[in-house]
Amino acid sequence: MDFWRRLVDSGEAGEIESAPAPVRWRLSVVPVSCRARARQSRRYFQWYGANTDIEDRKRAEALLAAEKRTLEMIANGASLADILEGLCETIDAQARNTKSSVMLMDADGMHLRPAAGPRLPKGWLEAITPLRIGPCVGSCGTAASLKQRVIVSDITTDPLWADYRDLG
Amino acid sequence: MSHGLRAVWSQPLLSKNQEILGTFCVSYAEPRTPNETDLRLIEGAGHIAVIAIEGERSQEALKSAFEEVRNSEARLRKIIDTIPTLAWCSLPDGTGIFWNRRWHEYTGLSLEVVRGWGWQKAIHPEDLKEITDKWLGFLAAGQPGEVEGRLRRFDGVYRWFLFRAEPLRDESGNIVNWYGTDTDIDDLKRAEAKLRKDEEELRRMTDAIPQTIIVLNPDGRAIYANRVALEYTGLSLTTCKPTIFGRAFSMPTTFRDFAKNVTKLSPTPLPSKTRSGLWERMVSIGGS
Repeated sequence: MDFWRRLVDSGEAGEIESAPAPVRWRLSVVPVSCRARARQSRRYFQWYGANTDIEDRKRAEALLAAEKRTLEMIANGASLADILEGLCETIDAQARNTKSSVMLMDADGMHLRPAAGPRLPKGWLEAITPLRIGPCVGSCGTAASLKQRVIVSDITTDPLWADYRDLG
Repeated sequence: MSHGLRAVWSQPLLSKNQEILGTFCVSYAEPRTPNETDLRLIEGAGHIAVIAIEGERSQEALKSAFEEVRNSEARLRKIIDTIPTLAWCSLPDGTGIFWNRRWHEYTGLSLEVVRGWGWQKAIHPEDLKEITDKWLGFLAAGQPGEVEGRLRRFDGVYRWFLFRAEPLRDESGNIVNWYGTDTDIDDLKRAEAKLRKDEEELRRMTDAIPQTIIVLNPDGRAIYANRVALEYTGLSLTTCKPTIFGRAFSMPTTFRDFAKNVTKLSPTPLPSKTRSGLWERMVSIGGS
């Protein structure tokens, strides 16, 4: 509301992003006065506004930010653990409600171990360490086994999660 | 669902040669199906993770390669320091850059002192010119070579050494380094000198004996004749040595028997020819 008051006081056009809603938006408002004189007296005929869904754009920005940060960390010689942690943090901060994580393959090519997952519960990470890959081992174990992206929209119904449902 | 996960999307992380490096995963507390943007996000993030992991791996590979080189160098250094000889290495122009531990221990000189051409301090002044000239000769010719000389021990005692140098070349034939060993031959030198002295003494003794003494090797070549024998036959040792001594002054027919008996290592009476041309009987000792 501070934003709105500021606009009304100044009589200038303005923009604001985000709000506690499931979808992020941007509000753009433009004051339209009927007479030039009215502008001077700060009395307006109408305000025009437009709300834009910027959720997709935010995700694209998250990716760019993550890329920039990761490359910087690589250039500065940061450890792999720190780099991956930084990557997840950047994605999580920009894309709402997202908990990202990275698992790394053991030298044996059979087991995954969590390398980064700043927002994931510790208990969960411990429970899946190490995770032996296979064609029906949750999302990551299956993705690593098939070398294909695995999308599980709801672990309560997906057969890939049959063995891990209670844990998830 | 004790950990509050509902939707879990996983992107495999594949290396350039399609080897699985790990997974990038996003989870949500509610059921959720990705849209195009979501897919682009996890794909993109996965790509970034691959860059980081592969960067790390190549760094690791490089590090372990360095480690390996360091280890093998340390092993080699240990061998070089342990071998029971003095060893060194120089640049193609002859500038000394390395001496093994034994070399330093023997001379008592540090690397700082002998580096470059400082090693000359350890050479006997009388041998320095010859050694330096020969060394420069090897360098100019690019051929291996050896030279003898005296090397000063840490306590000031000079001992005789055989200095050997060998060039190491790269694939295109350019000399990369010279490697050398200094072998202690002092005992050998002493033994040689003693042998020469003993021989001289023996000769003086046998020359004093008023009896002809001739020493032949198994095929009848004279390897020694005392003064009396040489004076008696009128031959000199140098002229008769290459021929069969016996033939030079023995009667041809009896010589055959003599030669046969020589191999049996038995004393044989042999008629000899004196300067006056008379045959006399002379007892020679056949044997080696």
